[in-house]
Parts: sequence; structure tokens; C-alpha cells
Amino acid sequence: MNKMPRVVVTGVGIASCIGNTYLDVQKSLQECRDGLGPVTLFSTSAIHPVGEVKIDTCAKEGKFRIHAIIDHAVQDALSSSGLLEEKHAYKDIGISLGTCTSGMTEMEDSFSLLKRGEKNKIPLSKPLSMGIVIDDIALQYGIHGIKMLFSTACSSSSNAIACAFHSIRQKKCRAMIAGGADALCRLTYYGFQSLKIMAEGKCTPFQTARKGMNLAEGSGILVLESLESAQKRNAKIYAELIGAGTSTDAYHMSAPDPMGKGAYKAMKISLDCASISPKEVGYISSHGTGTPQNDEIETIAIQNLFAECSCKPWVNSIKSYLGHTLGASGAIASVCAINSLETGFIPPTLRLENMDPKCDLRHPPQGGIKENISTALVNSFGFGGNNTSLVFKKFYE
Amino acid sequence: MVITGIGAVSPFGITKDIFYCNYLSNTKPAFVSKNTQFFGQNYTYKVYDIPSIQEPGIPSSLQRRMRSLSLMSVISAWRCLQDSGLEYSKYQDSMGIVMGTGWGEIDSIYSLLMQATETAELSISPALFHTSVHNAPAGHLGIFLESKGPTLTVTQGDQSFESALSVGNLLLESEQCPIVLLGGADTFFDLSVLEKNTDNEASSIISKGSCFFLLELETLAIERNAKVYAHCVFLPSCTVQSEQDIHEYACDIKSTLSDQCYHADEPIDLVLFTGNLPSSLWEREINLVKKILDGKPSYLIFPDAPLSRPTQTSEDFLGSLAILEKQKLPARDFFYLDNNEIKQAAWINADHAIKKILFVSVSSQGTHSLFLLENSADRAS
Repeated sequence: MNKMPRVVVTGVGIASCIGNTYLDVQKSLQECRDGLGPVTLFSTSAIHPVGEVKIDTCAKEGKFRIHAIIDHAVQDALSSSGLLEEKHAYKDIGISLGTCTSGMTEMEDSFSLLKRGEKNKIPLSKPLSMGIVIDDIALQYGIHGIKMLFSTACSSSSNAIACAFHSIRQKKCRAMIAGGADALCRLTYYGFQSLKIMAEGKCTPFQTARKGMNLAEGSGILVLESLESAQKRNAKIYAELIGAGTSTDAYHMSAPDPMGKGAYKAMKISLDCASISPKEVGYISSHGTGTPQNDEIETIAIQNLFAECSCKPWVNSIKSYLGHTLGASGAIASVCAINSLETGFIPPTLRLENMDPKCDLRHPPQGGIKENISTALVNSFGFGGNNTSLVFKKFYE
Repeated sequence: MVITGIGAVSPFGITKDIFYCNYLSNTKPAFVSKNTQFFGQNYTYKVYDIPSIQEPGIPSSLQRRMRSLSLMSVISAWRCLQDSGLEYSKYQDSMGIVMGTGWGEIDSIYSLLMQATETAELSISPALFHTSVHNAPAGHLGIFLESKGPTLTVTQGDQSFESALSVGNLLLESEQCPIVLLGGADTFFDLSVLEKNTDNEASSIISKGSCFFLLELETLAIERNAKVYAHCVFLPSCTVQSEQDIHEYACDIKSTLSDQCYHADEPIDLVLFTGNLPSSLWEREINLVKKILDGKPSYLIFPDAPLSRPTQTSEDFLGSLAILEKQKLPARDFFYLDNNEIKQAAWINADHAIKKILFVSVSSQGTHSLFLLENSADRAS
């Protein structure tokens, strides 16, 4: 029988408003510290807090902000994995990323310059061509295998990870750099403001009378690898990716299916793919944006899937720490979930003191909870009714 | 994997049959000049346009709500499903949708950028915002078809369609879906016009269009007695530039062809190249093909103009299917590779049936996406 390879995580990298290394983020989560604050990247009269990444983006001349953010996370992940330190064949390693807005920040700057009658510094087509992000990263690190770039709104990076997972299982390559990134820009800030789903204070998903989300930027990157390859080079294994599931609501472009059928289906497929039952899941990193509708519907889906479990999984939203990073959110949540599997610490949804009765899930208390969980489910849902769930497990031989 | 459905909305043919006819007779549409204004400056540019399209199978209220890219995508995907004869309701829960687009909903993005730049920040239109995401066309398609399986959008410049093909294949191989509706679509991109004007470059003709294909497992196609346009062998996709890489890549391709072709010993009849490659780099591609063909003869077709939009390569793919189905080469310049020598060719050997086409897409960075299309009748035999 042609057995599919097991897929393990051998590198993790992150750039976020709560830290730019895996250990920094771990510290922020354990100290229950968020990174949300006022917008400094552009001027606005609005007061919705955001999560900005604090890295020197100017150092990369001619590169876009998103490139600097993703490059930081890729470097972090690759240095923790040691993957490129050894000789590899040209097609052995691939890359799969997700993003929503690519170089929109620079596009907006160009438009502003042109409006003032000044000369534009970059070709207008470049910032909008999302393919440039992955081409540049692949070129920079000499990655010659499969390249895939997903743009499925807020589930982009989860889909990138899911397809990287299947690529390794189908033996198309032995390792993939997988994840995603998005940079803050006016278009999404004003756009979500127009939808009236941004909180004027720090967001509190699942809270009674919650006011919405906080927009943010960041990047999460995983090095996924076949177990055989990881063991051959004696790599540190952070966790195992055992399942992925994707579904579509087919209901509305921006509103979720009111019964949460699509979200339920994505979670169910991911567990089936992992060959585990709901009772084996100890923790769910929810999509948990903090908007009234999304949190309520995700709750319905989780309640339905885990209805038969006598011990319900813990559920939190890491967006209460670092905001909604859009296309990067699934990958960043995955990095945080892997951290929980490693440390046994499940951070709380920050500021959640009065749970909405319609969001009746097993939320960790403020201060977090220490529990030796072995399996974590990560949810990502996006515009277009796109739902993706990933299942990570503590690594056992 | 087999291709069992085709749908097209293109300036080169607003239906598959018209497209086939125009492609094989090398009939190009007439371009039109359009004007645009950008921060007080006027620009004129040339486009291959598509006349207003309507599809009776799609509710007119939905057609009115969609912008150009989504409308073209939904119509061509719907026609593809109709063409395939698939009893679609059986697969609503499991069918995959994969869409490739280079620029996405550029109309909406452009309008939003203008709103954000020219007027107050609070003037952003919420309806425009949620249709500005790259996956808006796939989202509309999922809603229209009530399709609950994976609905993915990939974007990778000039190779967005090829990426959609590969991801579609992955969905089938990993048994996530039994059937995948996949395609490419792009629309006019005003900003590229401004750029060419700014840099005083000769402006090329830009266009819009969409092609969709139904990809399924051969076993399912046989079970439902579907018409098979071609068998598709997915060859390794990767970035190769150096001589050593090219050599290793050619060996990999040959090995995959030997494993996966029904008649591996029979020659490849035609190599169809596509992509936006500077002329200096085509030599590298010819060397790759020479290594793959191993001295065996084949016809070669090169792109006759720069791509007029990122997913125009989906039309070259459709052109390959036209050649296979009609057993006719397009009425344009092509070449013949014999004993590793390239000659200008005329299509003189009427008995030389085209059973296999190697579709070679390459980007300027050396990213290769190769597919082998085999004539279904030949393979069935």
C-alpha cells in the first residue's frame, strides 16, 4: 500500500504586533498582553485601534511593506527549521502563501503622489500583482519547487497551509514553506469601517454587546515537512499537521450562513481527514473576529459539531491580542496553536468577562489555563463564504 | 485526469465554438480605442472588448449585481457545466471550484482607491468593498451554483490559470473532490495603460476574458459516459534557470511522461509555448524541449504577441484543445523540430494526426508549468 507521508511542522515564524519571534509571541500570550493601539501608519480621523507590526520596513529598499513583514516571518521560520542549511534538489522545497491586499499600502501612496501632481516612484502594476510577493520570496531563498498563492480573503493563509499539507502528502515535494501575510492599508481600514464592523475600542470576541473587530497586519509562516525528511535531518518537530478541511457557505458574499453549516462542514472534513473524532480535540483557536454575527454563527457550528462531547474543547480568539490580520490570520492562529500544544498554555480571549449567552462555549478564564492538550483545531472563515479548518497534534513518534 | 467540459467568454469568441473557429483560422478581433481619465490627464488605449453578454441560465438580477470579472467568470463556468452534461445537483456538496486571476476585481479596487484618494475616507462604498476581494468571482460562482465544496482563488501573475489547473489537480489527487470546475479570468487594467503612457512605451492591446474547464477523474467520466476532450497529464511544476536544473527537470518530465502517458513510446506531436518571455529567453525553453523530445520530431508553436492579460494563457490552453479535437493546426506561423534543428514549417503531412500536445507555460523568472494533453480517442484505444 502506498502510504501517505505524515506532515510535521519543523519551523515557525511570525511577525505581529505582539512580537516578531515565536518566543516573543509566546511571552505576550502568557502575559496576556495585546498589541493593539492607534493607527500610526497613515493619518485618519477614525479611532478604531489596530495591530501594527513594529519592524524596520525601510531597510528593504524598493520592497513593499508586505514583503518586509513576510520576509521577517520566513527568515524566522527558516532559521528555526534549518531547512535550507542542507543541500536539496531544486524541486524538493515549495512555497504556498496567502494574502488579501499585497502591496496596497504602496498603491495608495502612489495614488496620493499622483493626485498631488508628483512623480510616482514605482510601476503602478507592481503593488497589485500579488504574484510578486511569492516570486520575490522564492527567488530570495532559492525555493524552486511548487509555488501557490491563495487569495481567498481571510482564509487565504489557511488554504495555503492546507494545500501545502496535501502537496506533501501527495509527494509533490518533501517540504513547503506555508503561511501568509497582509499589511495594513487604508483600503481595508476604510472598507471595514464602511461595513460598520470595527470596534472603537479593543475587540472582545464572544462578549455581550461586542462592537466588532480590530484590523491588523502580520505574517505567520510554517515550515511543513514530511516526517521522513524531518527525521533524516534530525530537525526539531514542533507539531504534526494531521488534517485540513475546506468548504463554502454558498450563501452571501460577506455574511456567513446563519446556521453555520459551512463552518461546521469545514471542521468536520478536517477531523475526518485527520481520522479523529471531535472528542479528541482539546482546543479550538476560533476565527473569533468579535463581530456580533460571526462569533454567534461560529458558536452554533462548534456547538453542533461537539454536541456529543462530554468534555468540550477550550475555545479562544487570539484576535483579542493581535487583531484581525486578514489573509495572515489563519497562519498566525496556527503558530499560536502550535505554541499552546508545546507549552500546554491556552491563553484566554482577552477582556472576555461577560460572555454573550449566544456564544456559550468553554472559554478559558482570564489569566489562561494550563492543560496538556494534544490536539488543536484552527478555524478561518472569509468573504465569499470560504471556510477552512486545520488540525494540529502534538508530535508522537 | 480528463477534461469533460469547456466554457469560454472571450474577445476571440464569446462561445467555445466561435473561439475554436477563430483560433484555428487565426482570426483576431478588431480592437477598439477607449479613453480614460486619471487625475486630470486623458489617456487613450486599445482593447479587445467583449460585447455585452447575457446568459439565459443565470437570473438577470444576479447578472446585474456582478461586475465584469465576476459576470464573465460565472457565465463561462456555467457554460462549461452545461457543456459537460454533468448532473450537477449530485455534486453540489463535493465539487471543487478553483479560479485563477492575475488582477482580480481590478474595477472595484480602482474605484475604491479613487474614493479613498479623492474623497473623504468615510465615503467608501460597503457594497464595492466586499466585491473587491480577489475571490469575489469564485464567491459569486459558489453562491449561484450553491456549491458547498472547496472554492479557491489563486493569483500568480501570468501563470494564475496554470496555478488553478495544478491546484484543481491537487484537489482531485488528494480525493477532496471528485470533480473540479476551474478556470482563469481577467479584465481590463486601466492602470497598466497609464504606466505605458508614463514611460512612453508602445502600448499593446489589452483585453479581458474567461475560460473554464471541468476536470474529473477518468473513472467518473467513464461512469457517467461523458464526452472527453482530452486526457491531461500534470507534469512537475517548478522554477528552473541554470543548465544543470534544465537538464534535471527534463529528466523528471521524461520520467513522469513515461509513467503516466498511455502511449509513452509515441512521440509528442506538438509543443505549444505560452507566456510573457523576452525573446532572449526562448532559447532556454527550446533547449528544455529538445531534451524532453530526445531527438524526436515535433511541431512547435510560439506566442505570436505579448499576453494581453494574465490569464490569456487559459485561451492558449483552450486553443490546444481545439487543435486536438479538430485535428487542425492554427493558420499561423509554426515550426518543426527535427534532429534538434528548428525549421519554419508548413502543415503538409495530412496523415500526421495530432495525438499529443505538450503545453509549456513559462514565466520570465523561469517558473515552468507543463501539461501533456492527449487525444481522448487515442488514449481510449
